[in-house]
Amino acid sequence: MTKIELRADQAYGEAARTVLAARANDVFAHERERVLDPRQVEGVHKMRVASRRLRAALEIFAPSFPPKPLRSALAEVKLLADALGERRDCDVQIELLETLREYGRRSERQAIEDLLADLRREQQLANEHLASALEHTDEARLEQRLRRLAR
Amino acid sequence: MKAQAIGDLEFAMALPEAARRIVAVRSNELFGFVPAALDERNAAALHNMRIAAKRLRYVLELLGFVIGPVADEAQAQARELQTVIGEVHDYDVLIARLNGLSAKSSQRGARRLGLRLHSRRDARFADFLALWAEIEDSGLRERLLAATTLSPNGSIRAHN
Repeated sequence: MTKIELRADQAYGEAARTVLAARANDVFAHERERVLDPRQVEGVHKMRVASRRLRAALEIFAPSFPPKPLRSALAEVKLLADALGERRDCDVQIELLETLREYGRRSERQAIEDLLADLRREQQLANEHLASALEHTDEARLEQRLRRLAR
Repeated sequence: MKAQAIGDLEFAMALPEAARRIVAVRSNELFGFVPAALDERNAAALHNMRIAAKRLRYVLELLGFVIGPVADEAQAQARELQTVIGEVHDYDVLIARLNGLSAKSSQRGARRLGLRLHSRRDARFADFLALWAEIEDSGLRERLLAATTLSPNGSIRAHN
């Protein structure tokens, strides 16, 4: 996460630009291959958290930006955050079930395996959805639009 | 859960004044989920409270320096809340999945697993209640409120 140092003598609008530039940078700093690799759960987790921080910043600094470009950027960020969340939710549930399987009774194993099989299918679909969302983000030039807002 | 809008913010406004308004609104959002979230059957309120805790934490990461030492404490408690409520939520999701699956899996195994999930969920919910009691006893809400209602010259002022 980019360290942001705001000052008490800054104007709210000036701080908004500093924050937006840093938070947008944090979202797009992640390598796509890592994010889309279901064996590396940290990549998607970190990008999701960065997208949440970006949304939170856009919400509190909204009055500093032109409404129309802001609304449209926020909608794009939300689409991306939702796709990241969908994948992350599967990762979390799979991780939890794997822990339960390790310490579980034998009689529970079949139910755990059935749940895991369903979740792995969902994880794959969520990953495909995430890949499309990332492509869409590029096509919509979201990174450039956020940078323009921050100028 | 849609974030509550923060009124009366303007580009040229001094950052400390804007920060106090923002932190006040986000704090009220979080504390507004009590008592609903303390009801263990109200999973939706608990989940929304987690989102509110996260929003408050992200705001304090940026603007906490304006509020003073209580900001660090609030940030740490919001993180704890986020973690423990997240764990309760994970069990809720898994229990719902298991309920949808029980017909396929062996009834006995699924029932056993269900009991284990409920027991873990209950334990984490008890942790949440203990954490919330600690937050209330510490007077964090009142101190946050005091820190966000002090204007730069030290006088008390009202805001949304």
